[in-house]
Amino acid sequence: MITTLQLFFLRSLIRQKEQILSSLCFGLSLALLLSLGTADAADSVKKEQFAVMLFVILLITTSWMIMKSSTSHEKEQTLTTLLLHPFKASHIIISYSSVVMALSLITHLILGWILAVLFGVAGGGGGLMSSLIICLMPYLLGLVPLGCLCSTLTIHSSHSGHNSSALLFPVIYFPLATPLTLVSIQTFKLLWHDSDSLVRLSSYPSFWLLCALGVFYAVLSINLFSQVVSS
Amino acid sequence: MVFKHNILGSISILSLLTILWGYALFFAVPEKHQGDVYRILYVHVPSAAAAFLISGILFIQGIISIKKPWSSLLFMGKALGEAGLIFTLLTLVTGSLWGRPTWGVWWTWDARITTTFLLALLYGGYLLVWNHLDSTDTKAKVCGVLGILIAVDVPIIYQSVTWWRTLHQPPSIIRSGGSTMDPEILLTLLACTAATIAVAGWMIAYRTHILKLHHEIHYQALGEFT
Repeated sequence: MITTLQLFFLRSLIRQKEQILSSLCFGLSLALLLSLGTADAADSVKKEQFAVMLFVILLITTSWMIMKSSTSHEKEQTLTTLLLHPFKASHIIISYSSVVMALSLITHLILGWILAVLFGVAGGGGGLMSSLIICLMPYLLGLVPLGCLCSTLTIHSSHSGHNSSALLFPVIYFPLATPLTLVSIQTFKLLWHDSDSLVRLSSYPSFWLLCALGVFYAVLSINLFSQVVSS
Repeated sequence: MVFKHNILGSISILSLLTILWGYALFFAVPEKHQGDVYRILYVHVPSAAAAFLISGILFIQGIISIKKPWSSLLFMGKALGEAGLIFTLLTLVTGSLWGRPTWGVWWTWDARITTTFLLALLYGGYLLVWNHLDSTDTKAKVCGVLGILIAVDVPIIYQSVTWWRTLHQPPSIIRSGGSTMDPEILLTLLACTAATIAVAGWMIAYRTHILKLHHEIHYQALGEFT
């Protein structure tokens, strides 16, 4: 059942090419502007700024992608149709989140590599791409379901006729995503600067904290999504 | 009779706070290095303490309302959110007023200030969610979880001055080796904190009562209409 839903969401996201392309272009423009702004900084400062900016771009583009696709799903009444079939709400959010996570991972690995080239920091002790993949997986595991929940809450409240529903997404999503982003940046910096990071991965407390936060947000969002949808 | 009781209670609590703030702002001993500017501390610290305490109560309320979505608990949640937002904003505003003459800036993205700003956003988000959800059961669960997440932010705010390099001074009251404050200043500060917490408690109780009444009147009118 989840595979069917995953294929459905994948087709729907690929069909709306402009969503993926616009988030990629948006991320690229941000990367270019930020790299131009930090061109004169020292190498150590550049490395610090690269880690922060990469995750900030990631946070903005992922939320952009989720909000855009939620709006188009709302127009097509996808959720109502799927619930009438009947698919379980938890299966819907799991399959949708997994597809968005996969697309987001690919998009941001490309963005990460381009940003590293623009900043002139490609390479590093622990390997940029391996460190990025290790940090991105738990980060997106928490971030994407949380985004889905917040966008569903926003759509749900706009259906109820509340004027301030547009405020709901930024006011809840960004403060809740901040601790996850901070821990991800910290873990990424540690892994990237350590040449034996893959061997000593289990000895990093911040990595375990990131995993715990990711799992916590995912479980919480899946449970609350079912509750919001059923109401 | 109940109304008279409420009025008397309200007057006595507000008078206590006014007297204490009056004493703190005009008569308490001035600080050696900062002069009179430091007096804003008597509003800033109690407001922060009240906001933190409210988040603790919201945490307990959240856990209970996830298990048992009672309407009275829901109203209490909204009252807690409103009071929490007021006291967090008061903390930020007074901190900013103190920051201008001492740090030279109204605002800086310092770890303590940023995490407190996040707390204000989370309280705002809590109230938005509360107002936007219609089903009592969903409201209880979603707001309950948000209440727990708000409380999680408080230890981060408290520890932010030790975890990151910040402009904000490290803890000076609750710390190993005892407080670094002058005993007279500390005593006045503790009295102001106690009075502010009493006002917060009164605000929450009163607001919960009003929300309950509003709900009862609304349903009574709806019943008469149908």
